Amino acid sequence: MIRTLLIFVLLTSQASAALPSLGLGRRGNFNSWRSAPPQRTFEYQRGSVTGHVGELPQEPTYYTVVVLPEDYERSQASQQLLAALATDPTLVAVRRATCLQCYSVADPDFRHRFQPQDTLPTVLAGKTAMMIVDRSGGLVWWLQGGSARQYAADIAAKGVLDEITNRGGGLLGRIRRPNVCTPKTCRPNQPNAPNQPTTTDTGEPLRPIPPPIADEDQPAPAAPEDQPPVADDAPQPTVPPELDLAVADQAEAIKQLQATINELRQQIVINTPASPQAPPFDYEKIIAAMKDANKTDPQLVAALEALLDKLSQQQQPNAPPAQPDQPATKRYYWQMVRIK
Amino acid sequence: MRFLKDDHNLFYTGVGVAFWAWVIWLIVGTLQAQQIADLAPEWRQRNRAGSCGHASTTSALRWVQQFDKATEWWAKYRNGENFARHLDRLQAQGIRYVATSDGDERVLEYASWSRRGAVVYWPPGHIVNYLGRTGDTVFILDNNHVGRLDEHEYARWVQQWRRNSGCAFVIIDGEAPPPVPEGKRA
Repeated sequence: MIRTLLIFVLLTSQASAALPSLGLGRRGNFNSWRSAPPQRTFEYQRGSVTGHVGELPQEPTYYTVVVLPEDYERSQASQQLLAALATDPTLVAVRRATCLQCYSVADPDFRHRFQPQDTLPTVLAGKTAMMIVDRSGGLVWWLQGGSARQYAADIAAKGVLDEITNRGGGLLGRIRRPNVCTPKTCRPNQPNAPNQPTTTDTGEPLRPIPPPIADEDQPAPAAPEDQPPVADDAPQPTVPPELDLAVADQAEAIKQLQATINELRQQIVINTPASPQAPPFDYEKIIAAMKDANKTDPQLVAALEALLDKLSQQQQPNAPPAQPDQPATKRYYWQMVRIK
Repeated sequence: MRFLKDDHNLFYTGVGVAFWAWVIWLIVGTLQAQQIADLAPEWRQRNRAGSCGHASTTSALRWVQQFDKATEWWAKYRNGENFARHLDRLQAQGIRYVATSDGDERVLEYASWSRRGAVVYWPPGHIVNYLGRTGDTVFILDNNHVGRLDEHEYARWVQQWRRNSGCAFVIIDGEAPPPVPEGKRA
């Protein structure tokens, strides 16, 4: 009985496995409507990521964690360690290859995350500790209760710096800022932050991160009161011109407008008082209107002003008084506005 | 009967492949377990009168050790917030960020990888801190109850987040504090 059942199950499974080969399974086309609709499964979807930065900051691959007792300000060992972080060659090299973070035992972050992992008895007893961890939390090197000289000697003896370098130590991403915590970012965990390097490892001076580009919609920050007012005749700083993305379109539009101006110039020549039958032409008003309508285009405004000067020079010898509200003027005015 | 034999072999091959894929998935999942942005309870900002967005931003700034900016933000802004105005205010305060408003998961991946955490618009009508994920679990710090962290299944949570708003941003100023050492090697 059991043998029969097993054979039946085996044949059934073989037959069901053979269905796709025969074109009868769910992959078949004539009975696919009977198959259950596919369940909605999680799919990796992508949208858009925005930000007002050119690139993401680099992230440290190794961290140097220095733990100090609560009374680190009065502890001689703590002060020596902090001084050695800025002077001892080995510790300086470690600090530059990693991201330095100094904790006092009273720090909330240290108490919340580090202290439950390792009770650090010597630190709690008033001594110091130093550890190097990688990004995933792997403990690369660890020593507690020693002096700054002992830390440096142990790091050198165990080749920790070489190990960090060989494992691609430093920072992930592009180098845009020093690979140590700045005093700003280390607050308030940074007791008596040692002097931070002012140059990169290659000797180049460190430059601060440029501030984000202010949005045009945002109001400009108010000038501080202690800043002396700028005199009117003081030389103004050179402001780079703002680039328009549609430069090609703008150039084409200027070219067309220039051609239109040339045509109008011919008409103006025809309508000058030299031909007494033609009505006088108030070109100053027209050009003023064009200038007003094209305020944002400095090149066109300059061209119009040059044209105005030229026409004024032509008209001045025997210029009759302009007669406003001529119908022709109105008509030409609207034509010109429409040109824009 | 040739096709039956082939399918039989294919069946067992598929079972084997699936088994080893499962094992590899478990191993990779374990290796990819990342530490979360576990802010100290003293620095978690509790919500006040519908200022969940500002409380979350303040906590996020404290995690990346921007304490001055966090204090300034909490003192300056109150009440509800919408995403566009939120980003405008970040920019006005000189705080750099990357953001998504259409549910791009890369922002969450970056928040987990960099351990910076994110401010997410979830659940409906609320804004919380995304602290990261370990394996298939996502950790949320709700500013209405800062004493505990909420855990959710990642895939399901991301679906809900997308359905709700898909809005999130990561503050990229400052530095995330070092990870907790997980074992002694020396």
